Amino acid sequence: MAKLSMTMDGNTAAAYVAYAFTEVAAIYPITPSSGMAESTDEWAAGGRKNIFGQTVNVVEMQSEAGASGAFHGSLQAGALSTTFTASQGLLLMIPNIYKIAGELLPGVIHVSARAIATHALSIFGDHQDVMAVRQTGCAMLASGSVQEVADLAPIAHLSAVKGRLPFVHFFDGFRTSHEVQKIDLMEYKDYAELLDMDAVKAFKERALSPNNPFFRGTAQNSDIYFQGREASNQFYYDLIYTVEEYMNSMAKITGRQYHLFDYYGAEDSEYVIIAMGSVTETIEQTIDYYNNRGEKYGLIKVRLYRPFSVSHLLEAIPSTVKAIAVLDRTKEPGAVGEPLYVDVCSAYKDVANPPLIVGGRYGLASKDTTPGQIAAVYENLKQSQPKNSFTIGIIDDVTKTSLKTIEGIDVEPEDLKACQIWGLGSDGTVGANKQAIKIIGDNSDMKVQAYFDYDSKKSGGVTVSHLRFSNHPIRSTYLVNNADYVACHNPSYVNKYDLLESLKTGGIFVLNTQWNEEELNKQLPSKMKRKLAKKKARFYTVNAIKIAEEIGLGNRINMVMQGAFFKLTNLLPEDVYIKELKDVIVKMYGNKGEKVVKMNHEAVDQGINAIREIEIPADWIDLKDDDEDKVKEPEFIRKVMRPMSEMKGGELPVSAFSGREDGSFPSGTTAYEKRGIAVNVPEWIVERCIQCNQCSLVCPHAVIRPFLLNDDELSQAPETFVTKKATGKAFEGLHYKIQISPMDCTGCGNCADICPAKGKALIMKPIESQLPNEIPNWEFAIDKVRFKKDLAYGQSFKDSQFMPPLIEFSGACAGCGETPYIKLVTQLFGERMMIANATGCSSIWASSAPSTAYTVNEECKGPSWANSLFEDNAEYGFGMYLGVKQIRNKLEETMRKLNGMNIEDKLKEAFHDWIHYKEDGKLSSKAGEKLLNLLEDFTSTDVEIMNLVDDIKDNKDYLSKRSIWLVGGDGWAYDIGYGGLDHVLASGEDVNVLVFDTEVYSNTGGQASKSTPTAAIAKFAASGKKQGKKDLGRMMMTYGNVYVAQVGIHADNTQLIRALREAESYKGPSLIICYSPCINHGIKEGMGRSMANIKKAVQAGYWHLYRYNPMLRKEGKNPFILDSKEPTESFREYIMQQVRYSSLAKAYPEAAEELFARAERQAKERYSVYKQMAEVEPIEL
Amino acid sequence: MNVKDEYNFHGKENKRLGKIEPTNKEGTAAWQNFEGFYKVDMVGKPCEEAVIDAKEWVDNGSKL
Repeated sequence: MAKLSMTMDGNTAAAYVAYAFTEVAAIYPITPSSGMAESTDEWAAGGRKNIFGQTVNVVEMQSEAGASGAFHGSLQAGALSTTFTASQGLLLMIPNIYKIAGELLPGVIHVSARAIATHALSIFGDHQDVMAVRQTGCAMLASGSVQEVADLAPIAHLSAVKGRLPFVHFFDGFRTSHEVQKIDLMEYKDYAELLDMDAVKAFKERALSPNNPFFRGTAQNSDIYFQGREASNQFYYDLIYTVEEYMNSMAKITGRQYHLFDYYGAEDSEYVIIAMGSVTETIEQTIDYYNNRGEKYGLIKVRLYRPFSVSHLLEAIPSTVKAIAVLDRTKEPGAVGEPLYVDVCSAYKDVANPPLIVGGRYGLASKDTTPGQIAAVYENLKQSQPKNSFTIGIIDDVTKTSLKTIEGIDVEPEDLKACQIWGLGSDGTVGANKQAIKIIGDNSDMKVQAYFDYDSKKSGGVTVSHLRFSNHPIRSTYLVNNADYVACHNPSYVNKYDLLESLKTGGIFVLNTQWNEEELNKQLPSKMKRKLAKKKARFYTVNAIKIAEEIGLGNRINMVMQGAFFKLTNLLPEDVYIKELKDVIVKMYGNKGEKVVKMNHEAVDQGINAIREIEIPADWIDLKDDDEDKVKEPEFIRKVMRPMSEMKGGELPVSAFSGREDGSFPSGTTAYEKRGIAVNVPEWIVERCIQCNQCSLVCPHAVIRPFLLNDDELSQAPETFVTKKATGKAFEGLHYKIQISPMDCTGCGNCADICPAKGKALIMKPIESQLPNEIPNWEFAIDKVRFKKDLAYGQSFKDSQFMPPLIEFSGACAGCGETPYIKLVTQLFGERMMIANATGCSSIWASSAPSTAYTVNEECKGPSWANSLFEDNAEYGFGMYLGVKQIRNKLEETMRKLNGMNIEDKLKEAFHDWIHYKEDGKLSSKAGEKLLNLLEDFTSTDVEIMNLVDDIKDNKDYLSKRSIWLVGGDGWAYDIGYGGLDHVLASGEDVNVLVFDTEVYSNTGGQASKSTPTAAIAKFAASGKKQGKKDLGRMMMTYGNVYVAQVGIHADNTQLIRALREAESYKGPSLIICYSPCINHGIKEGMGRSMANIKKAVQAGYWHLYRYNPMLRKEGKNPFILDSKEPTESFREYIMQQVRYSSLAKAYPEAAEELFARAERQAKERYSVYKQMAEVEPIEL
Repeated sequence: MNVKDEYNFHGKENKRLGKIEPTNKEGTAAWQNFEGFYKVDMVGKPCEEAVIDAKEWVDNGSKL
């Protein structure tokens, strides 16, 4: 048998195996499993054949529920089928998994196991999802490393076919799914040889067929259902031996023997841990360390979790064992213990003199599990009364479950070299590190491991690459914590992160910086300097930014830093790594021309030669920390937000969340970040400004705002706070200023781009030139300039910008096309808003803890915000509406009752007013205020009256009509959440839906949605989408009573604000679809022109603006108004300015032409239909 | 838990308010790899490669 040795991650390994055995893959993307489906789709598009000589048919469904339905159906039709999922996605598949298991169908589900959304959502790995399917009747096979995925995935497929039962094959999300290792794979012909073709034939013969028709899925009653359920028992007993047989067959080929339960450790062990997944690698390391020092530790690695073979488990455990700790990577609140623990206890129930068994939890949401924590588990077992239901990896100072980590043990092989490299999303660091791993893996006998740890920001987040190299197998399934080499590619990080925490004594620290030695001494924080000295670090700098610029690479520093990396780590001989790096450059950039290749080659050379060693001054070791800021921040900010922002959140104890056990986080924490993202920020040229406020309107991050000052306020302003006379009758006597917050600005430039003033009133300038004046100016503006709420603001978008935005400084990308819309909504309705937000970009940029972007106004009012799931967002928001409506109806009932009782007339009038204005946002607030004033000192001797009045006071929060918004992207609205959205809009109730239409699943990496237009390239539409774009708006218009609008900010701001006001005031359901450019579109003009892109979209007839207002029908008018004019720009030119379209022309030139023409035709047809709708006479019945 | 009073910060008492040192500068981000600047307003224009790099990161790099 030929072995293939390749460097890949767990997802790719699983997909590689699955592809071989799969005829149909019905999928839906969800982090961290999407990579499996994407690889499968890519290979299918490239013509790779499975072992049946066919390409896999990959179909993206609308949700995981849909994917599992299609997966089930495909199996029933006789096609070997697979799907890939995680977390909530797996939960949505549960009903189908029961069916598939009940019908004895051989499907395989590969799961990159991930946390379930409970008090919070987490994309990170644990076993909560797979444990939620253990009762469905599926078999469950656990892999603990990338190699194990490659070895056990085939066993899942082979056993499913032979054993006639579906398999869930799972491995840890991120830790295994995204970890890169060099592994051995079998060739497809070897899988084919192992596959029981008779079983395959029998499966196909059992398929549904009109040539041999029968029924499946009948309705059964209490007479036979139970017997039918028990009839399949033998399949489960037999499957145990089927899996075992395949493990043995595979071992003959690979040389790696697996068992249902694998034992590792002392033959006469006394203390054993039972676990599954990636932690087993860390436990092995820990065992080796301690057993070499005289301990007798052991480990049982669970492979086949269901069916659970008690006999095989008991056989695997040495009889010498005194105590067992079972580690579960899940939590089952309220249960006696977690699932694996309960299984092990049950296994021992008939054993005489069983060992003591305790259970514990670890690693939820990829919480790092280190050897020190494992050591603590063994120590606990040795106690006279070991703690049960313990936790490791956290400090539980509330219910005291945690075991104290044992510090200072070094279990890694001596020759292991560990590196930690800090970068910025999209700066090329991660890609370069992946290359480095490959180069070293392919050019040496070393084992390699790469793991990438990011924060949640889609573009521009912190990336930390953890790389390991050794001649021994690398079993460290935890972050690098004892690094030989730490590099920081983003010099601004020295001001925030503890970059040296993981550096070992004498280790190398490399900083990409423009500072010379003198400047380093001045600029580096004292804490950092002291650490460098204490750790006796070898400190180097590389001015990669300058080198890259001089070479002509712009800001691309990755090749420069790669050169430095290879030089300093010395993992390969110089001639080898130089050659390899340069060969890679030719491969990557060859098609871009000789010049680009040469520049990158030079970058490598300069990176090697431009390293400067910095002598660490002797006095650094005694430096005290820089003076603590005198500012006493709010407790939450100080104790929770700051540590989390600095990536020290892992040290927070459980008590940090006391009082917020339900997952609540405060609003407005993003104001505390001041990240200093931008390179250039806008400078306001006061004399040119025409006070249109469009800059403020389009700003995605609310960093540029108009302020109106009275004379008194102006007298207190800094000298540099220049203003001009405010225009507009309502603002007479006031002073006008456009103020930016430079430290919150991302520098996208949209404000300057759209500025209509002659000569431009906003010009982008280097941020350093703006900081000295604009930081204190901003501070003054937000602290001392009051919002003038009593002015006669008009209905225009211009006036709307004087309202404080109640979303600011979000984690959205620079130039994001989503945020300006919701910002405007908060300016109009924010103090009354409740937001139900679907999972997606809009939930991530709004609330990746601890950064919460929605905030409050001066009266401490602002949007309440919550995310439930992805598929249920419309229903979730609708539920909020129902709850509020019920309570407000009760208020009305109470007031009506009081009005019939003996109370004074002015109170009755106030009640009457409130009831009358109940459904009006502003007026209900006013009426409510008036009412509460009257009730404040109200007394009565009538107990019933007092009780009713108290009821009103207790529910005073509900007096003001709430503005309920169901918010999310097209992934939610068009696909997974469509059913719920449709139902909610059909209800006729007064809810508002805001859809950010990026025409793709932005947050999960660009998968096609039903909103993706024809010809756009997206994942699962790699050769251009063939189907047209769904017209969600028109579909909802058919109800007749839904307000529908399609809008485009900056394309027609008047239409936008009109639509928002009409929608919100309409006493029925409203749907507003907003065109939202995204970095995924690849806008060639840059994200600084994303707003201009929206305007062009409308001008080119790509996007259309309209309103469908049911109120007009009541007035006997045509409810449909087409707001966009005839297109004046070229559709083709518009789309070719985006990589998502232009790359189709490069990749598939023949097909592209036809698809572009089709897309344009569809857009024109759509416009024609809208025109017809706008021109039709209203129907009179 | 009454969150109302405890949680309304308004961005005040903020130790970062007056700071000029950036903590998360995106100078090396692909979207800021400008090959030139638009006239007058000096908004940066990335080269097509940079646009592709930025797209590649959100599509394949960042793991969300």
